Amino acid sequence: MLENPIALAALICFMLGLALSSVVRIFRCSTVASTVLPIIFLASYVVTYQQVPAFPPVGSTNKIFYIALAATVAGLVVDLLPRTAIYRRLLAVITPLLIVGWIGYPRFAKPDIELIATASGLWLGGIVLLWRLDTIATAAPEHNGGSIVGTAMLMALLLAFAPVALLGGSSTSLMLCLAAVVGLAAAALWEIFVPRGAFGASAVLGVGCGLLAMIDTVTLITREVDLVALALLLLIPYAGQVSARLLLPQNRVRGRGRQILVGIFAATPLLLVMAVLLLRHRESIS
Amino acid sequence: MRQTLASVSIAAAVLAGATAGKAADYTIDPTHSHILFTIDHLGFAKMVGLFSDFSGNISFDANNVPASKVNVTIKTDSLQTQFAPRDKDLKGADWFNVTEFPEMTFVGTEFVKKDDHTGTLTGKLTLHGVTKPVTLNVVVNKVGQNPLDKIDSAGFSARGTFKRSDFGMKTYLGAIGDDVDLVIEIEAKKKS
Repeated sequence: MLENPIALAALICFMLGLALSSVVRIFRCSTVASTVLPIIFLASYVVTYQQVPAFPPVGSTNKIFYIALAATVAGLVVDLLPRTAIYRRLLAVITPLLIVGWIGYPRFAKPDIELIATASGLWLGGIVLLWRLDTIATAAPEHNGGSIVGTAMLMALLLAFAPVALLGGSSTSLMLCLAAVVGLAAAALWEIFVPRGAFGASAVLGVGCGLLAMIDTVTLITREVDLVALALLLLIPYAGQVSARLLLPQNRVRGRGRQILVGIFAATPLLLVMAVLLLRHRESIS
Repeated sequence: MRQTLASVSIAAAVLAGATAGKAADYTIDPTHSHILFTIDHLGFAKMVGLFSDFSGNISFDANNVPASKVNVTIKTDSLQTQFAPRDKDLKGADWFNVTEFPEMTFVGTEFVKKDDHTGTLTGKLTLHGVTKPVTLNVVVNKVGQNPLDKIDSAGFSARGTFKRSDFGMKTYLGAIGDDVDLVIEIEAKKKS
């Protein structure tokens, strides 16, 4: 099994997730614990691309690493500030625009309607994604938020984007996503049994912006992505909360059990994404 | 690969120049030239790819072989591997990244003649935004007038190897080989 590079990358990230999550529990600090998720994402990048790209990065795939790194640092700063609501919202609006601009830069020299529409869609989609992730991060577990739900949502987003990326001409993004999902699963396991509130701004921005950079690269640079399937990813940030309101009475399901169920609900759009890809890419898949 | 092609072209031109005993400028004939590469796939077999869109010029002086010049440009979007999904992947951001790096270039810089028909050509290959030296072993197949179009032509073969990781292309290293073997067959026509 370990001869399979994807399986090997996933195993490395799982072990890293377990190890880092255990170490940060010594500190009893959610700010420190929140950095585990973006570190796992960055590690997934390194084991996938087998390099820490040179700085300044040349090429969009190299930019993914530095976008995730810079966003993690920005998130860490926000986590250390006393009042952060405005900064969080501002970053949710601005960072997707910066990512689209930097990744798509080579194409903006000759803009056309299609490019402008796609870039605008990516920006707006990025805002929705980061805004919702931030909402989950700051919401209490009884309001269907919290670290387990947030981590599950990130896992669902990465898992849903993996096949979209594969059919969009990026098997490497598939590998990165799967490795990161397995690593995040290890962190989620620790969070279930020894909670630390490990889903602050560094987790939201670090992993969220890393994912957006991957999405923008496949969409704007490789240019083969299925936009319908990609748009369906936007259901994931809402699926958990909507399903919970409909199916989980507040007074009956509480605590970690509720968070786990909401996290599972967040992944339900994954089935829809897979169904759409199977229907629209039958020839490629067979 | 373009660089390799260019290198080959240069070497051929140099050797051709030596044979003819006069300076000449040549243009690569794309209809009778081929740039292929092979790369190991999981240790089982070599995958073969080719570029169908490239161009180049060769300028050489038979009396001053080291002063010869070659420039080759390959359109990365012309990559073909006989499997459309793989072509899509290889043209994407993870591999050749044809949107950001639509061209590969090769500029020949050093020509060393071994005998009348063989030599080496070292040049600067720019791929993926990275420029590194690549050396090709060149064989001059034939220099003379093409009997069909009556144009002075030069034909040569070149082989070489470079590591894709040197150019920052490290995707699936281990599963997919690092060494890229080049197979270049060039026919160049003398400029009128």
